[in-house]
Amino acid sequence: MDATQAQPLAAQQKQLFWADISTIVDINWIPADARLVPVRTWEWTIWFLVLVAIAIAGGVVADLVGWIWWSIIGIFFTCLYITVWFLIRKSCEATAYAFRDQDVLSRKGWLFQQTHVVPVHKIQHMVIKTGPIEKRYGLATLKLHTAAGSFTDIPVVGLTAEQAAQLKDWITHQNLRHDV
Amino acid sequence: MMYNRWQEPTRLPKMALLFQGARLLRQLWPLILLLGARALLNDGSSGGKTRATTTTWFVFGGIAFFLVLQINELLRWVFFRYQLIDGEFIVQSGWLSRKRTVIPLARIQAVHQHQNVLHRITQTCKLHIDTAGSQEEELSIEGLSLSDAAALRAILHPAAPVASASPHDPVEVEALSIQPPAAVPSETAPSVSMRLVDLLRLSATENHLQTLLLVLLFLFGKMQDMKDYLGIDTMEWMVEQSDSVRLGMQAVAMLALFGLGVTLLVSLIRVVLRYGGFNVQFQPDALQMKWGLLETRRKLVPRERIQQVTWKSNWLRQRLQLYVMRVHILAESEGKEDMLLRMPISGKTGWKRVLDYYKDVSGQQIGATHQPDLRWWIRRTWVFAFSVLVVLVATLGMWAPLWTISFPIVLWLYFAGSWWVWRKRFRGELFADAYLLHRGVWGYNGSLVRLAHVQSVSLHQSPYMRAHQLATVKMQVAGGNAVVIPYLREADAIAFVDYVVGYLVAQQLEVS
Repeated sequence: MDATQAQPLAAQQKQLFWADISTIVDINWIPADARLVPVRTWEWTIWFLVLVAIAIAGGVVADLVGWIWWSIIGIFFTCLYITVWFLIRKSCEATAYAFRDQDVLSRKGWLFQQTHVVPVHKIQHMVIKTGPIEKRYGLATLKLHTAAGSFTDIPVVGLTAEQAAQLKDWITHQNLRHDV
Repeated sequence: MMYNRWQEPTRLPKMALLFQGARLLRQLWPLILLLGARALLNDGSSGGKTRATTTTWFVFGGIAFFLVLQINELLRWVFFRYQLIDGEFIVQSGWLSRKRTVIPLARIQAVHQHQNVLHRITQTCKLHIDTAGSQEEELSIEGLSLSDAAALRAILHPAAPVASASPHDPVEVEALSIQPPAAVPSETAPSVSMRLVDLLRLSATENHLQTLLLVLLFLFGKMQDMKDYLGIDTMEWMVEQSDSVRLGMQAVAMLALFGLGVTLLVSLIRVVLRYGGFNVQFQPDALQMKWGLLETRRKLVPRERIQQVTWKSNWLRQRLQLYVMRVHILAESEGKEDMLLRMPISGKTGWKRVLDYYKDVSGQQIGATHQPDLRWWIRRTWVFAFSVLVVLVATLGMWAPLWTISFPIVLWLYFAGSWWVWRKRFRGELFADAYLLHRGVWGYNGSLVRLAHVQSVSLHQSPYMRAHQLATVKMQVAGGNAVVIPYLREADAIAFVDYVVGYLVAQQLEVS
């Protein structure tokens, strides 16, 4: 007998039936907390102010004179701020998450939408991230890390700090239940 | 009854010191040689010092530097201890700050044995142990005797009962000395080797353009070294010589032939050195690989730890049925060539054997074959590439001679054709517990993933894709690149994601 065939690996040829499989279409998504909009808006505002400061410094160094140039720069930055703010708002509205008995789902993006599904037993570790602005609004992000590597972590955003801790505990409990 | 010699803290072998010294010498010799040559060539004009003084200072400085590094290496050797106890590898190192690393044997992903010429003379080797914890090697034992290395590999092998046993148990301790490290004797396990003719075919079908670039880069680097350390500007000398000689067509043809000959020779040397003596054995529970002519490498990869198998073959190799296959494991790093597990395979039988070893895909395919929608090609060619083409043509048309616009047009036609072929040849096949992907334009790339090794799945949609009910699916795997299936019909994409997640969940429920 061929040794490559001698000992079939565990879990090979497992049969699944379509009727047994639940679909991600039927998910009742839990929208991100409404406070995510001001959090993201403040974060963007800080970056925007840094950009404006750089632009003003650049303008001064380049010796820009005349109100026309400064008006063009002003209009450009105003349009930029409003556009990004609008996109942030829409993106936050589209952000949602869900958890079933055995997996966690995360959805993000308004124009470019991404839906991630992570089986709970594939989660290697979790990180609760709270930035200063998130902290001010009582929000947190739960980052789910799998063995696929550090660049493929799946963030569940728009959770309150309590929800993040609760979800983390639930995932830990689910994993422990399977490990026993 | 045999005694597990590693249950007590063990120091690195004394031979390791020899290799540390040799490694340091190997790192320093070009610098020492070049600085020495510079000191000798220097006629004493630097800072008013004589040649003898400069050379003396240089020699003293070099020796001092060498000694400082040696002391550091010596301290590392003195305070390094490893032991194997209760199914764990424990490593202690450091002098002022002590470091203790604990590696559970069950977490070991692969064991690599490396043997260079010096190792062969001293009948020793270097053993690397990889775990999933990081992209670095967690444990590396230098100067280990071949018998000790074989015994250690036997313990680390998943079939060895000691992996989950206490070394204090006399019956299990005896199992530590199992040799050879596999349930099936090595000589009876199926294997794949490279014949000389396969090596020649492999070297003849190498990417010669890449080899030529490597040769040119190497030469340029050496010329730069000559300029930096010896003050000899070889580039200027070459330009002067080429200016003084008028090159005819015959001379150009001779030069091109010479370049081709050098490239072929370098390719041959690279392939023979890298894959000479290549052999892979398919043990029931581990893959044993061995390759390298001067520097021999042996790798032992537990079968269950293989995360993905990929393969590629360029146009010529496809005709000759030559494949370079890769076995992906956890925490592999693309930047570390030594850690990558590549296998040159000749013929469809060998290729099929590697695939079957990872996963038998002869079962029934589920659903239709996946292929990107035609809109994938339309978007790439007519929206993205065409926009770039319009900008380039407009720019060149305004500021350059009119004939130059033919370059971007030809390039656009090439990409349009390539993407068309890529879409046509793309085939994704879902099996009960695996996903098989075929793609390529000139050559052929493929990958096989067991669904059990998928870490997460995601669905990606742009507004355009939503409007046309399309979606891209990405499957993240713990080893190797993510599997991406672009522009599937939305319903197929959702069904695919549902199936993969359903499979993973069902499998976990069954295990628990």
